[in-house]
Amino acid sequence: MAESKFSNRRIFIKKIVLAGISIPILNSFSFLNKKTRSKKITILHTNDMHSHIDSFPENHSRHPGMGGMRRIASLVKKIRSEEKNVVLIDAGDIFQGTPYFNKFKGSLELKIMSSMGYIASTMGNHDFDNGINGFKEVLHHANFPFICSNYEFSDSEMIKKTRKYLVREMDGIKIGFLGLGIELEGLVGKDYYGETKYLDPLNTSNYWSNYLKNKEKCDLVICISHLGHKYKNNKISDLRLAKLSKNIDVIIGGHTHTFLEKAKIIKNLENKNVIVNQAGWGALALGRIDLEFSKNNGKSNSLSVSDVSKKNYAKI
Amino acid sequence: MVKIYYKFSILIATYSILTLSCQGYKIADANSYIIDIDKNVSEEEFKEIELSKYRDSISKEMDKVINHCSITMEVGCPEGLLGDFISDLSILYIRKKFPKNEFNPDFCILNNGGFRSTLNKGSITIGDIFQIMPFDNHLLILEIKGKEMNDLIKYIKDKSTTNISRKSGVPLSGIRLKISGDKVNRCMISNKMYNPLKTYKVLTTNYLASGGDDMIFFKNCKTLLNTKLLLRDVIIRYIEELGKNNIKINAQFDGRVQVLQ
Repeated sequence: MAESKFSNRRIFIKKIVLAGISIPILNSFSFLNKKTRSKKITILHTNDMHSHIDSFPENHSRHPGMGGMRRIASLVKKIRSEEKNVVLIDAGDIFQGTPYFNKFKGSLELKIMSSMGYIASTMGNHDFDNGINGFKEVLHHANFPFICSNYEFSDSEMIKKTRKYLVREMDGIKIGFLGLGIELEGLVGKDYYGETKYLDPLNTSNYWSNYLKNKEKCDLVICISHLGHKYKNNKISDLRLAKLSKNIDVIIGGHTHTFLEKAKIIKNLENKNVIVNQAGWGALALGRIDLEFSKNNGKSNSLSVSDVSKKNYAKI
Repeated sequence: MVKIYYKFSILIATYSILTLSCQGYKIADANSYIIDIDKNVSEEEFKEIELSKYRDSISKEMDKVINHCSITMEVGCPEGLLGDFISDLSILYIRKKFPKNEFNPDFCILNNGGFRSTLNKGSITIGDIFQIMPFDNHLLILEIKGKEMNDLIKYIKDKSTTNISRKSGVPLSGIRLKISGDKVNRCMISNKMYNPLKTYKVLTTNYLASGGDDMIFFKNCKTLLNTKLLLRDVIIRYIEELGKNNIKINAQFDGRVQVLQ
């Protein structure tokens, strides 16, 4: 009896030893077999869609018959059928630009985006065009959150319904989001934004990206920005933010209606790469960033995009 | 022996748990594309939210032809035909609608950033005007004088001399400026020389009146009249009225803002 107990224990110990040894061994094998162990996240992004649900009119001087959220929706559907982990985000200015907004106050745009499966958006200056109250009135049509890290709302409902950050896990990859809005004074009428306070985007993004990377231990930190891609002066922009950041991996931009041929790669304060992208306006383009992830070898605590290959950055 | 074995195994197990737990993921490779949304991409119908019903209700109104345009009008700096046309018609329409002398605006100032499209040569539909002026901004008459008026003239000078985007230049009516280098040489308002001591009546939108597009000088100005008329409705009604009288839409440059090198 005693012996059988002993031998049971022995088997148990053997199992533990085996498990203890085999896990690191399996891990080391996985480095050789990277393909099967790596994971892929596909970021799809839009910005400044400005209520362009349908394509531009056929007589439009620059974009006849082009664009439209309906087309983006079908393309997103197709990509979802090919890719396992799709992260669909928008960088603001959903509202204003076609009669759909004038007539239905933005409710239709939000219904469509909810049906398309957006994970998050941030507020652009034109999303204030019917005032804070107008935004609040249609917000319930959105099944995705608005992330406004650097707007401090005085309105209690806005405080409740918007978020400072968001964490989502997808296929074992932990993704942290923050959202940055542009300075409202001089751009949006005071009556429209009311007592909303604009906080410094650099300080705010440093705070939240540090929180997401180091406290929440996110594998990927995405900043959704409506600051604008680039300015001639020192005004804060996506490129400037990327340069002065530490913990942001990807910046998805808007506001300046910038059509990039390929994403920009910017070295941050710690000489790590930050991917900065923007997809024009008016639902005329869809941005796509495919990220391959491998297990972090534990040697460095922070995750970097230093291995980004530039060769495939191209317009398709 | 067993005891040592046991301890050793716990050590290894702990080690492997530790190595596992500190392993996150890192980006190993990245590729990006910008995909143009052209006619080759099919269009989702969104039957579940009955999008076609919304569209039908809108297109009935938007497709209505209200007049014809003889020339393509675009924004411009220091002067654009579209800005000339819309600021002129705004002041004409408001003068007609509010004939009392106390409301008669001396000049009108708008912003090119507010005009989101071009008025194309050919037939004009209501939808075209929505494309140009999608904002639900209404027209106001404000009183302006002294420092604020000086700031307004400086604003026009700065925006007219730096042509950096389609938002450059200022749509104006009832005011004429000659700018030489960094100086305003001549400023005429309602055909009279600008008088720094006079209080002027300016027609503008509620967006600009609340300090939009950096027109912060308006923030301290008293509102004389809220017309409660949307700028877009004013444009539509004006164009429609001319159409009923068989007058086509036209405009030409008249050098209201001149920048001399």
